[in-house]
Amino acid sequence: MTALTLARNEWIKTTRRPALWVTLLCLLAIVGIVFFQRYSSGLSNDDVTPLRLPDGWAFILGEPGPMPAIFGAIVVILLVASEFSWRTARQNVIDGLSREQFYAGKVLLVPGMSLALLGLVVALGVAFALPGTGLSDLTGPLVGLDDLAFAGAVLLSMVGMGAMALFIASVVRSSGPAMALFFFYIAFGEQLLAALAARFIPAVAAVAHYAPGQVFMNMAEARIYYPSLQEAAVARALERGAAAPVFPSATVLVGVALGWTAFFLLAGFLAFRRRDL
Amino acid sequence: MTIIETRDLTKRYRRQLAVDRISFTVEAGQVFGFLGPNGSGKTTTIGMLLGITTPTAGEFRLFGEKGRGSLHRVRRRVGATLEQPNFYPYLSGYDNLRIAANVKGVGAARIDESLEVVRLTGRARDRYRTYSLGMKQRLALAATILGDPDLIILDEPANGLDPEGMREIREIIVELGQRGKTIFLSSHLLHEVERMCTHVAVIRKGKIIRQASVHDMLAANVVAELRGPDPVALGRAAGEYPGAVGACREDDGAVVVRLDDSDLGALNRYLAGRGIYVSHLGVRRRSLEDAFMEITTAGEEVAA
Repeated sequence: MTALTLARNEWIKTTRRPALWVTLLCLLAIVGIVFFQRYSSGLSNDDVTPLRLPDGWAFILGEPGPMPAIFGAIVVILLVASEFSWRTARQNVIDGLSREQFYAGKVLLVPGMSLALLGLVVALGVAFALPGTGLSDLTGPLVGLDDLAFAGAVLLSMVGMGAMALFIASVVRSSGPAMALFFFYIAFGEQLLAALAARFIPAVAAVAHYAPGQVFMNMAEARIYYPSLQEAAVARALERGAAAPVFPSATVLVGVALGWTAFFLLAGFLAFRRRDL
Repeated sequence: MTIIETRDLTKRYRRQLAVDRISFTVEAGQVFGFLGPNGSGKTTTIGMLLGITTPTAGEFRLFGEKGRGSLHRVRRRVGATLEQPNFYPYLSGYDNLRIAANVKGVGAARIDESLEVVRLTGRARDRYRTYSLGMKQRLALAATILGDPDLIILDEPANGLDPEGMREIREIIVELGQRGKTIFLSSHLLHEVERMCTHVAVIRKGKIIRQASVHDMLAANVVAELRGPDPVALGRAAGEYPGAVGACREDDGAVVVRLDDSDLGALNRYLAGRGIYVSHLGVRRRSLEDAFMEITTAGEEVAA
């Protein structure tokens, strides 16, 4: 059984699923509104720089915030949890996949879906940015190293969120409850746990912002990757008389995100393997 | 060649003992019926054979192989469905088979052949969720035979089907059996099993209580039906006949006697000797259902 075979089957299951396309349309609509607002402001408001490349990469990659990661997680939950409710996970194993192979197929889904969603967001952003971009006037590369680093970080945050979704779907095995648990954790659960832990174990407060949800969301913050944006933020804060903001180290964030991603993938596998199908 | 061999196979779910030290064998070419009431442990046993349920104790071999790696390898020679057909509802029947075919490493031609066997070619491109129950069962059979398996395991293949659907499934299974496939099927539809199977094992409350060929199961005792002017006296005398294993009187006045041999003349002479003359004496054909009811109600434990 090759990875290609697993990928081929996941492709059939994913691309024929109407829920995937509905979710993608919702994401494109939300991100499209964000890009359109900036595009139209650039046209009508002289104080707003028109959306154009290469300056616009930070906006295109960062302004949608955690939306692509959250929509990617929704798709992963829908695709994985339903394998249990329809008992197709069981049938796949009966047909000849080992449990490891079945799970590997689902793991392939996580980066695949993240790449696809990020690609769509970028394509949409570029579509809005191209009219303002004078390709003949470009003096440097269209995509800089900072842009690539930021794109990689956004992709990693999406993969991490997808891995968390895969873990929850493998444990809960039902789309509705898995989705509810995922949103509860992202919206309240993590802050609640961090607050409780900090109250009883003060030392935990210092590391609470390295909780998985925080890390994956923070990674999509453009200012971490662009020194010019950091300098502007510091200048604005000093103008207001506020303390200069401190930005987390990108290297540390990436390291922690990789660690959480590996943890969720492994824990999801152990939970999947341990239980009968 | 022994295809399936279980030894003291056991599955416990917390306090519930679902399968209790069962041992049985299925030989090549047999159409083997695994009979038992609902909740008797049939599906759990099949789940263990297919690797989706982990046994608590005991062991089993498929094609003589045991152990996780070897079993995973030989399971490529097995085609199976467990409980109801399990498919992606939003995919067509054909695409569902494509997924199974990719796993089994077979090509599109084999998908077409399987659809042909189960007579589903015309609806192959329709979504699975639009299929009737009979069509879903037939698609499950198509997926089962996709890899041209040596062993076919079917769990309640005729469950919920109308008579026409049952007949179609039965014909397909009989045809597969005639092609030399070893078939292991669980069911509580005894008349269906009797028409399809060569061998059966009866499971009750997680224990195998009888394993035999269908022929032996049906021929275990001759059942005689008697009628006479005084059913009460007839029933009493028949019950006291030395060759009688058991006797009962039915509502319509017939007396039914299970004999340990087929000598109806000796029974007739015995009754005549006691001054009882019968108006009707004949052999009643014993069904698998009769045998099953005797076995399961007696609760006897018989070594296979």
